[in-house]
Amino acid sequence: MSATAPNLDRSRASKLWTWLVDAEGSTRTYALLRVGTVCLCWAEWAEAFIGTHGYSTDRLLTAMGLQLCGFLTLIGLYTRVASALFALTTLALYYYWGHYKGVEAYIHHHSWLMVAFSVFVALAPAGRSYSVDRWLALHRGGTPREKLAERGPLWPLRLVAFQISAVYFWGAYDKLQPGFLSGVRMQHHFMRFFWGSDYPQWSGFPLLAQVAAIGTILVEFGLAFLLFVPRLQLPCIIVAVLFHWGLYETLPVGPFTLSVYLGLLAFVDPNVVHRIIDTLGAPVGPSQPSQPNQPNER
Amino acid sequence: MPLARTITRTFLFFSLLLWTWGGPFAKQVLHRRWPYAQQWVMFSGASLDVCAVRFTERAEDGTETPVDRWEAAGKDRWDVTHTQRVIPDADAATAAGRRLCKSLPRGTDLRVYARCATRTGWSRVLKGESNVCSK
Repeated sequence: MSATAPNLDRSRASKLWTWLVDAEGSTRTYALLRVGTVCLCWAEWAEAFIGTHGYSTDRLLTAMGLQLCGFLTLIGLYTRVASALFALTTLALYYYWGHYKGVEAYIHHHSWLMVAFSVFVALAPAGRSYSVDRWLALHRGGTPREKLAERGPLWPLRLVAFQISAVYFWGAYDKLQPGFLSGVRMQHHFMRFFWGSDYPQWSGFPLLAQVAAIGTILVEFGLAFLLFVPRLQLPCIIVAVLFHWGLYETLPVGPFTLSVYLGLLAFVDPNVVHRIIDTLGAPVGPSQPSQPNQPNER
Repeated sequence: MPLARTITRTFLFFSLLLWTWGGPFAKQVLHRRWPYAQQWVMFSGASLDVCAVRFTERAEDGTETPVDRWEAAGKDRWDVTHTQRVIPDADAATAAGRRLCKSLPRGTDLRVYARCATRTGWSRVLKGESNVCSK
């Protein structure tokens, strides 16, 4: 018994190491993240860098990075280089424009998620699926088989997952304060964002606020860990989707909800994502345009 | 897998993990600001600009009756935006009381009670010490 215990530990550690750093799988999740991240970044930031807002070297460089490299990353052309430059641009938005130049719009929580995702996508073989690069490789011929396979290392995807886990863990950790645990901070949020300054007269209001506060902490701590447990992933993702939908409807969280939805993809086994997409795209029979002379079947 | 690739992957993986987890750890555990990463203190500084305000009409014998500011002004609270429903501080609460005076009979003794939000709870800022309609 005592002899097998260290072996078991070593085997577990080895499995964990493989899962973290060495594992490989389908690259379709990366493609979804690639497209989603560019769309989010454009929706949030591109308008501020159009020509009518002025010209300066830093503005032009950022605009080129966002728009040109963003476009190439979106369609997956020269994906490796384009996504690396796009990631550098988003880093510049956060650190240079946000922290150095003091533009608050670039240092929000969702801004960080977009920056982190673009960095992780740049480190992944995100052009191996759903990309012009792949289309060209398939049509040119002569590309080595291993380069055509929609497979690649999964460690950047693990980083996306750990980033989402960090959001939940540290979000919950920060709430472990008397003001939040008592429900009073929830009362503040409810009155500030919805109800107004007339303190609600319902007798259950303080209790309801406290239940909501403790519930929020439990959900966040739970999601931080349980999303990694394969058996619990589906219910956890459903809870996360509902939780963030609720936040979107009640608080000014902006694209944070969509950013987290995108990040939740990282918890789903990429091979499962691959199979689901295969199933969705599977032919169900000959697709022929309806004949104008034939009566519709009812 | 070649050793060099394993080392590069491992280095990048743990560096980036530190990049994403280091900021909140520094801020929330070590209580040091680390500006290189998000700290995930979401909404901890929000909603500190709201007060719970109560208006009462004081009779000569000292008894007080609550005044519904919306009913007195002939408005529906849901017809205005949520920012118009919010009174952010003591001065705004007093100003809201003075506006309310215009909708009340002349000579009304109107008192304002306000508790404003802090990170730890509510802080009482107005205790109805004076008649806001008399000024």
